[in-house]
Amino acid sequence: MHERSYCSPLIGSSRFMHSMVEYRDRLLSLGHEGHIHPDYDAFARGELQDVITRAMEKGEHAEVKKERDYIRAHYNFILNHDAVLCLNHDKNGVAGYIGGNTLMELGFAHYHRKKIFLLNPIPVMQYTDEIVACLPTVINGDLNLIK
Amino acid sequence: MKIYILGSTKFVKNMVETTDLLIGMGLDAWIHPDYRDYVNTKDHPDMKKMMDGEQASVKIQNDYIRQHYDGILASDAILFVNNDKADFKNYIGGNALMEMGFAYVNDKKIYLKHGMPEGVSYMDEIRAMEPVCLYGDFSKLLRIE
Repeated sequence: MHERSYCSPLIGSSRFMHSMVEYRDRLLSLGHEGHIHPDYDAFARGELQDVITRAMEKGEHAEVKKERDYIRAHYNFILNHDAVLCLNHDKNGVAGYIGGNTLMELGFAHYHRKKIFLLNPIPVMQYTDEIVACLPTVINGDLNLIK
Repeated sequence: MKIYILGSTKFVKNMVETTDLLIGMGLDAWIHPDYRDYVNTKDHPDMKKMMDGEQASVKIQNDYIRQHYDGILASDAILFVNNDKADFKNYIGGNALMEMGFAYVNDKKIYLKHGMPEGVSYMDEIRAMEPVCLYGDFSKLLRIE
């Protein structure tokens, strides 16, 4: 039987928003308490499209992060959970991509002794050492390993 | 204002020098004591490991991520010694990005010794945290105090 009281905010690049909704729902179906930032749900429903357009097409990603206070929101989200699941899909030609924002979130989770799960293997990037030092557990796509 | 000095391990010597320079200016600056040991101890084993590319193991063994977070919490501000590194101007590495995040969510002031970094993939994150660039002029810190 899977741990039912487990909470996993899903983190990852905002380009993986649809995947976050999908994996949140898969975690819920496995009996976990999966959560994502409500904006990701809204994006997936076709709402807040101006936010997406500004962030991803108009080069205003930094401004959007500030205005919507995403860095602090994700930090507080992590504080209130037992674990994080990082959806590190391939992106920009990097297998298992982890972006800068997600790297910060791994650091937050590590400091606060939250369990860190990576959906895919640790990427080879400029900051691979930092990712390794956060002691993540790689689940290779198998959500049953989240316990 | 208590200022914690941070930066890439590659710049450790300059980080210690910067700390001492700020202390000499009357500022309450400090640095992780291990950095002083690295600079003052010839062939320090951890320093040698890091220069040999074993950064992750040294970070894990010494629990440096949490230690630096505690250092940030114990301070009012952080100052990154963001010198040029290889092809990167005003370099901020992945570890420094995490530390900047710690400072930001805990409402600490964030200073860069030089200008904004160039060429790193996480510029949006850095811009969103609005660090103050000193462009090498530490006297600005005296005016802030």
